[in-house]
Amino acid sequence: MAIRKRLRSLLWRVPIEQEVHEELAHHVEMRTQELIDRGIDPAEARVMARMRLENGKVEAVLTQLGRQRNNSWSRRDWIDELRQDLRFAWRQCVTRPGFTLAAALTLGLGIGATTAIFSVVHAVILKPYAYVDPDRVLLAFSMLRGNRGSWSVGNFEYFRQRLTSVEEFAADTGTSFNLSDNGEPERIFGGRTTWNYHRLFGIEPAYGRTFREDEDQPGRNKVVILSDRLWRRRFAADPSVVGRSIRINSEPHDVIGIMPPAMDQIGDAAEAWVPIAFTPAQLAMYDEFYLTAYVRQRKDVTRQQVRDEFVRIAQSLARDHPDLNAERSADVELMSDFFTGGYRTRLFVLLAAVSLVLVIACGNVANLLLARLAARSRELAIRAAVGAGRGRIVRQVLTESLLLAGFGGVAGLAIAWWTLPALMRLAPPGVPRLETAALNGTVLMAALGLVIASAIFVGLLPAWQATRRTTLTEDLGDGKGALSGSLKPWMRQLLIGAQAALVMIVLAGAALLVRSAINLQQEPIGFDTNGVLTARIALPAAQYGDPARARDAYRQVLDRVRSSPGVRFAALDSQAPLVGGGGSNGLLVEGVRDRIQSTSHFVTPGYFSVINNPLKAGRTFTDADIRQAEPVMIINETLARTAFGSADPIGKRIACCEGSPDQPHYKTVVGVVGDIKARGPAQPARPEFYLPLMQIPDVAWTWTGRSLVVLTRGEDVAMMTAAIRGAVKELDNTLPVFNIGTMDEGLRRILAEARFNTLLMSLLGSTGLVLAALGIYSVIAWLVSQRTREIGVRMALGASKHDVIRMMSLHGLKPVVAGLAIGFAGAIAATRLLQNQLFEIGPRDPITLAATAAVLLSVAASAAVIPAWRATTIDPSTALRE
Amino acid sequence: MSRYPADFLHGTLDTLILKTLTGGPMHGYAIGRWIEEATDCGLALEEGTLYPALYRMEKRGWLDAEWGTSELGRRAKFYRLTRAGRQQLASHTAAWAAFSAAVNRALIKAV
Repeated sequence: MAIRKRLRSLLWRVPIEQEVHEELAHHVEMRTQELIDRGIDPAEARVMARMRLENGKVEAVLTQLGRQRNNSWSRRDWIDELRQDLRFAWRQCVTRPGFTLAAALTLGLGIGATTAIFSVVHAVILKPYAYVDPDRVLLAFSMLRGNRGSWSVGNFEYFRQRLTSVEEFAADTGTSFNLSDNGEPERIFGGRTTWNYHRLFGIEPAYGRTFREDEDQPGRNKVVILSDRLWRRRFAADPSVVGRSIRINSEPHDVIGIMPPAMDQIGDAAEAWVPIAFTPAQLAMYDEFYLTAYVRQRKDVTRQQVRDEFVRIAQSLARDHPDLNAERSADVELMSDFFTGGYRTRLFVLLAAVSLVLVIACGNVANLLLARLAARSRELAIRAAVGAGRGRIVRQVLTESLLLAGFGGVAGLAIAWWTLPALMRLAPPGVPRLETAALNGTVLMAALGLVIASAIFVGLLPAWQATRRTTLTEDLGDGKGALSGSLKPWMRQLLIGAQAALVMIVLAGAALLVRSAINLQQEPIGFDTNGVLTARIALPAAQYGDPARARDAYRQVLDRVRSSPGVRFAALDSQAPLVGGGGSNGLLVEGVRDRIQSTSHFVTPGYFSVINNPLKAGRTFTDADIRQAEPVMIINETLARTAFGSADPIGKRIACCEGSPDQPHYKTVVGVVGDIKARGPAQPARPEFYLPLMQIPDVAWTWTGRSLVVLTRGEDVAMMTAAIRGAVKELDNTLPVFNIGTMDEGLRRILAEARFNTLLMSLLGSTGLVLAALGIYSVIAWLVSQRTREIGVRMALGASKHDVIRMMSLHGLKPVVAGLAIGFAGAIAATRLLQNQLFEIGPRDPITLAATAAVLLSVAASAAVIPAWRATTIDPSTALRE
Repeated sequence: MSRYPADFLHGTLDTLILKTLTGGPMHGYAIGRWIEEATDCGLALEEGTLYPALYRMEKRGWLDAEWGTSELGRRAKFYRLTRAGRQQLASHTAAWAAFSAAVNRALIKAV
């Protein structure tokens, strides 16, 4: 039925106008004849017959109806054909389950991996931000000699009073709160914010309200807003917590609002907010830089106008307060760019790499399909001979590849569903919004797009080959294909050449990352993480505001930890390496006007032996370095070089942390220690200085928030953990101990990102390599099977095994070498994108590129030689008889 | 009790055409003439009614058409019943019989 209809529409195509015209002409003729037979004059009869057609109205109506009829037919035919093609393709798939499975899994691997990576890219970068009008929310930076930095309260206030291009200008500073109500005391990360902070993001509270302006004043700021996360975790999502009082840092605060989950996606990890409430004294301070500033720009201004205004105000600030701001400027950046900027290139490189692997997978399936179509060339030729047009055959082949890609898509979704959680677990910490990655509607649409793109990639070359007339006629003559016609292997060689080029690019990237990861692993960090445990304690101002009490408390804790079993060494530091936190101070070397910014450590004696930081010159601190003794300081090698060049730093004097430029308070350098890479092996050593904890000025206790890190060295982590917890509990059982962890873990965490990228790229690279090797293998194997007779003849005529292997494998290796050359150029261009992920290796490292090409070539050679070698096992007499 | 759609009567023309074609393929003019004669000139079909009906039925798959040669030796479009057309004819004929019987019963009943 369907076939008859199709033949009719194919063979019986008269333009509709002609059809109607002829039909009606015939009608008129018949009627005229009838009228003449009844005795009416012929001329009159014709006129009468014509009149019944109502001046062409009937013809017009029929033309219209006929057109509708034809459209309906072609629609029905199209659907019939599609159904037919699908049925045919389905039969093809079912009768060769091995082929179908191989193709579906190959494509599924590519589609699944690409979908998983895309869902991450979507969650982290592409998805719009949760706050209102993300393209108007900016971060503002206080710039010092071109480096972005935080804001001092004085500078922030100066800008706040003058800015006109912004709707809101807010600031916050991350801090830790000791949270205690009726439950366990807990240390949480929170924010002190100006009153308009939440308003700036345009996110309405889920319950209650945000801060009022009058609450942003000292004495009236005992209110707190909870994050959704904290509210669920600690308060069981009970809305009635609004209005209750909870204790933060031992002081009662009224809960006035609860933010929705959207606020948790802003970028920092704050779980609660209190008003920052600057004191008049703070508002006049221009030299302590610790605020992060946020901007909501006005609708009617451009980003550049905002930037220009910041620069203008910075210039006027530099005139008004030249002592600290002469070299400062200001800049703004879109907040979403700032948070995702670092991940943008990385993730897109990953997405590009995984897409290349998908293309390689498509190449393999295209190769399989080409081989199968070659086997079916006779059938295709017959189809063409009975009138199937080119388009028809192309559609049939594409339907088949679409069905295969559809299977691949199903397999791919399963793979993505399974790999995405693994990907999120393995991913380095701190990737913004990564936890929101999911196989949502957008991702599914992208997967569908991948399926269609794969179907086209896979089917296009085979479809084109299937329609080439020369092939068809030749195939009709000799179904076996013999030595010509469908045997021309250039298409399949083109495919493996392209695969080689793509694999070269992915593998080169992977190899660079691996070498870079090895470099990182081997880079000395200047101290020994092995067996070191760190934990942070913070003493609330309410009970420990007096520095003498804080000093006593820490002395007690340290003594108890030291005498606990399992602890060999113990010390305190205001900011331990790999742990983060802490601050820096401007140092004034005696006789020099310029300040040197340097990281500060307030440590107890014995600190350097806990982390095995070697002493290079002078002495370490002792218990005698107290407030009443001579003020002393230890510096690292970088600071020694920066401050004194090649001169001996021991005995030199540096002012810091107290006194004033007019009346400097000098400390004598008594020792130099080796540089440490406190932020991990990839970050360069910075100038660092150390003061004895028991000698620091009282004000320094406020800078650190009375928060110190306890470091212990020993064999047993559990015993050391118990020792620290026990010591703190004995001092004050409301004090939480937080950030407990080994330094080894800290180092691993810092290297996690490099390791993760390396792992993924290596996985992608090796997958691509295996796929390409399979492709090369199958092409050579196919060529050998097609040329059995010829090989037999050659061997009968005296060709050696060696000749045959060379002849056959060169068919595969020539395109691979050509592909490698192109891939080499492509790799040089593409690996530039990896630049900022590489450590002590250039993106064009010749050794890496050459080694990659060599590996690829040897894998390709083995993939080509194995089937070629099999050709030599052909028995000439059997081959000739076939 | 059967129900009759609004275009039931309109469909009677289609049914007559289908009936006409049970005798074999015919061109449009012959179909019109046959219906006129069979109804004793009770139904004179206008071209503007007959041909659109033929095209619609072609679209619905009740009729098939092909070019052939007419009595005058001219090229003409011949219509033929399809299987779907035969089925349509059967079901409409039954429905018509029930309908006309019902109408007749009402018309001969004394008021």
